[in-house]
Amino acid sequence: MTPMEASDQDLLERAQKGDGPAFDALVNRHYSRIYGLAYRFLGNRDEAADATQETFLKAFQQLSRFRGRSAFGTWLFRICVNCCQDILRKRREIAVSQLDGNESEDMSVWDPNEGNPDELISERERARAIQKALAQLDPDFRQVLILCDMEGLTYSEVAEILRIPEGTVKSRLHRARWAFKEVWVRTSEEQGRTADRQKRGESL
Amino acid sequence: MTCESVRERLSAFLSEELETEEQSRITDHLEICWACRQEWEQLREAIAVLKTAPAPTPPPYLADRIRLTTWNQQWLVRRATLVRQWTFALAAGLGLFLIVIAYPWIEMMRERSERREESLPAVASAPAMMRQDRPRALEGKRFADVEKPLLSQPEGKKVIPSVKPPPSPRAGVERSQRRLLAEVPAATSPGVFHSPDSPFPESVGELKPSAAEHEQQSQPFPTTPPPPASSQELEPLQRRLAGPALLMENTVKEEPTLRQEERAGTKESKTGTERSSTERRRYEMISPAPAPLQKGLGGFGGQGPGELAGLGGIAPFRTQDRFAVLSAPALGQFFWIKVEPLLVSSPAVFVVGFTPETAGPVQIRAKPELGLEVINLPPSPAGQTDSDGEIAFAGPVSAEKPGRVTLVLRTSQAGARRLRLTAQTIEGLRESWWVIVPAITPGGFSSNPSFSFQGQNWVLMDLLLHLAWQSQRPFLVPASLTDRPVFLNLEKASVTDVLSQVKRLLQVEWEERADGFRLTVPAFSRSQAVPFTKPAHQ
Repeated sequence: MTPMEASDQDLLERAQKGDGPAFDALVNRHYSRIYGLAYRFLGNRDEAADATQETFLKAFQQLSRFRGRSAFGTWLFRICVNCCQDILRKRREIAVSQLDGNESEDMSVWDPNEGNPDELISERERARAIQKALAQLDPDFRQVLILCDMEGLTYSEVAEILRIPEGTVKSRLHRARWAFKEVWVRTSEEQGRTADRQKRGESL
Repeated sequence: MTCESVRERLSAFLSEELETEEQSRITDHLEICWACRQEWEQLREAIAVLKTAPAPTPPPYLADRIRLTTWNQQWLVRRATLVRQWTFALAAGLGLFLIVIAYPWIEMMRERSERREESLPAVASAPAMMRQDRPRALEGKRFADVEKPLLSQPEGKKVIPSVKPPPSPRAGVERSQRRLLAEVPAATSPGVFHSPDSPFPESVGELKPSAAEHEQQSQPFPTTPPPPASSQELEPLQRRLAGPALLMENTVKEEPTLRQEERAGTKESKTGTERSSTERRRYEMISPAPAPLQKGLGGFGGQGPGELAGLGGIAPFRTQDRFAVLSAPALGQFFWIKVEPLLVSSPAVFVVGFTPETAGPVQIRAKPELGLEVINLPPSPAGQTDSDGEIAFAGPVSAEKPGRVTLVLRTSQAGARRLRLTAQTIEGLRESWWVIVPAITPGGFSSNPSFSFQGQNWVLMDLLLHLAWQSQRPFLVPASLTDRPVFLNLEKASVTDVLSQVKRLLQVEWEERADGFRLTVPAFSRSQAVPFTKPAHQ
């Protein structure tokens, strides 16, 4: 069986016995998703890359201690959430303005081959707007929103990742959704006004 | 149902978690209540935006970077294990030695001394005690000799054994050359030194003891120990003979030897100490045992020609500026896999492969210079000029599975830039290569088919920087070559002309592959190394 066809469990067992390529295969399989989680949580490409790297390094170091009670992916998510929280703790809070500046030059977040340029620009702007709105939320809210609504994990998985009861996940998610809605509506209105102003400026 | 209770349940309604009955009640309410309907629409839209948000694409280098860190982790663990195993083996060996050899010996010595004490008169005179001590000390020396024959033998007045005729002509050449450099007596002048290029005379190792009248001929060569000479006298002579390489040899090795002796408190006469240090140096040079590799010395990288005296038995030294020894055994070869034109301010991907001589784990570090940055690696801390840079690859490599170094390069100014790649094995052997890259302003400069040279004497590194810029092609070159002088008798030439001349002068090979040039030392191994190149020009 080649590493690509092997299940996470097989690869994991091999990696635990010191098989480097098996761990590499696990990295290849999961790093995009872990990066996505970190990027959405932190809102910064460099920090997200650091968090992803840190996640896999920690996973590698603690490989022998992983008993397989949860899925490997869930375990990685938990490590990643912890890494992101460490980074956040260092930074205290995301400066929204800094996000603007950093990401405006970022042209490679999405594959340039998909969609026509106009769509791509609007798509990228939308993604940036989402990121900006997420950044304004409380980190606890952001976590559950990302894990439940963006990553599509179940309540029980999220409960395991965040180590909180399932009921807490549910109630926190509901409050987070309302909070996001408020921010999103406000952002959309601001964007609408900016677009109007630009249009008027162009027509003059 | 009140508006407030409906809004509390809207999120659960969105997730379709409610009972059918409650769900229909909310649907009914939303149909009649405009305000709640607007809230619901906004919530649904916002969450839909979240759910359909495109997944961010990780940067292209991330997977490599992660693999690198985990490999590095494995590397550290493995090295620590290795060190532990060696320490254990050493301790075990020492223990065994003590039990098997040292203890019975001590017992034996004690018994013997007891027997002597018994046979001696009750009050021994002081000279008798001294006489007794002497053989004991000598016996101890004999034991030490078994352990370290090369280092301890020359002490005292023992006759240095002359070097036996070499088994093969080439090995003989190597030995006698080094011996010649090490053993020429200080009292005489160098005379005419053999051209390293000429066939080596068989008589080199067997010449008779010297006198000043032989000055105009090839230097006589003693088979018996040379007259005691102070190292200060010896040094300028060797410098004249061997050039900078041997000088380094002296500065590196002689000092510790002298200091060791001082520490050991050798109570020999001054002449004796000096001689033993000279002799010891000679042994060090003849000994094929690998010299300890020191960090920052360059290892195989070869910034200085005299670093590798012991490695593989080939001493790369320079006699005159035009004679140079063809470097040390190679760890492996770097080669181009992918080359992108490096435009100013935009990143370009360079992929370089590494094939080792022997399979095993290798770490490759990259250190950009001259305003170049490698953006897929963390920047090196400022001020670390002697470091090898950041790890760009770590893992097992073999001839079938070469190491692959991906470098995303960027620079902000046009011109020739360079980057040093250093491969290091787990045993600590190192080899450096240079990547020389031209950074081009888009549309600003086009490559010249042939170009002029202002000077005739070049150092290879400068020449390659010039060539890279003129031809707008990158170069890969072993660092052991880049400080070599090149004499060009060309006014206007193409890259291939120049490289052909370099090939002839330095006895190197060059090839063009993957849109980049590569210079290599012709295949050699420890057994078949060629000690000298031809003179640069005749």
